[in-house]
Amino acid sequence: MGEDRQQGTLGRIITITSGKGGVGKTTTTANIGAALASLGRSVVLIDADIGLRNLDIVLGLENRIVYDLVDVVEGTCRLRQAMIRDKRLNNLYLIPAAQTREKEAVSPQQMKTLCEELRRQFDFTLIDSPAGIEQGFRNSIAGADDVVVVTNPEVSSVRDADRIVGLVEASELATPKLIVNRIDPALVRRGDMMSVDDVTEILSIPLIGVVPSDETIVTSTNRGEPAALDPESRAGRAFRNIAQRINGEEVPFMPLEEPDGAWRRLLRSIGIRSSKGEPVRGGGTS
Amino acid sequence: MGFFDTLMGRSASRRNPSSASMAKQRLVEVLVQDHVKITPEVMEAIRSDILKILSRHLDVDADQLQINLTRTDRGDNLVANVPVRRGAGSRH
Repeated sequence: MGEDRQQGTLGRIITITSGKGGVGKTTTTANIGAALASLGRSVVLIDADIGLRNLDIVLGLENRIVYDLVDVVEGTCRLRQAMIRDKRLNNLYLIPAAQTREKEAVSPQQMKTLCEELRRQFDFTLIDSPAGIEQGFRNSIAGADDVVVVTNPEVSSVRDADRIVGLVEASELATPKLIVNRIDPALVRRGDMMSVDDVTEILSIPLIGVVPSDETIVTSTNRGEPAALDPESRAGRAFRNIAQRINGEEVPFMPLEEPDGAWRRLLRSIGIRSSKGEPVRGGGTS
Repeated sequence: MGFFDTLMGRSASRRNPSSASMAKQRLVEVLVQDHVKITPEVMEAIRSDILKILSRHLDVDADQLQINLTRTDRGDNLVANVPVRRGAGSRH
């Protein structure tokens, strides 16, 4: 694992966090990780949500867990014994969270030490932070180089994201980057959802990605296959774009709307539904 | 109007502020409070002090006094909107 890393180059540690729960941190971690791995980079994902393990099931690796993060830091097993290799991508690994322990089972210093070890083996270490601003969050940013804040265009998650931005800046890390997840372009157009511009203006941190609300996330999570590996998924494409930006490439922000401009809206408003305008999703094949 | 607005992708009703702009406005206000950490009690004290001082010189409408914390690119501002009753300033 990570044998292909060039001698002397160190990988980056990136923490994905949000403050509020349920905004899509775990999905974001799984998808960016899968997308970076499919770009040929070596990646390890750490589920830092001790007690509420989830990254394993989102990746479809829940049946392969023997050791976990707490076993690693306590020395019950060697680091590589706790790394689960992904089914599809042989340069993607997961260190799962312990399910029956407390957040206090790991200290910030232990996370730092672990991150220093992992950056010698992997191009990217992505840490899926738990919700909240307590020890689990502090553990997850302890060894990080960069922090990515995930938010939804909705008042409570933006407020919590602002709190996280303050805490990250207070801990002398670089200004975090923003992902606006689950944006619904139709609601934004109607004036019933804050736009990406509204959210970035309020939080005033750099934007690294915009992910549209997309039912392929539901179906891919059901199957345990990251949407980033599905070429048809719009959210998957958004996650691939984020991965490329993290990988240092310039990628323009994709249009949020389906190919569904004024012409189709006109047809719809007079009762004509063009079959091509219907998103074909959730079918048997994908 | 409904047809044209649908075509242009606008909401049918422009009379009320959109829920998105309400969300943004409410967020900006609450975040300034989160940052400045003024409790409702302190806010009330500021309000009554402003009224007390201005009332010495002006006939102000206490019910209409509005105090808001707002955010601008130059930082957080406390903005007080004090409606003055007609004939104010001629009390000396």
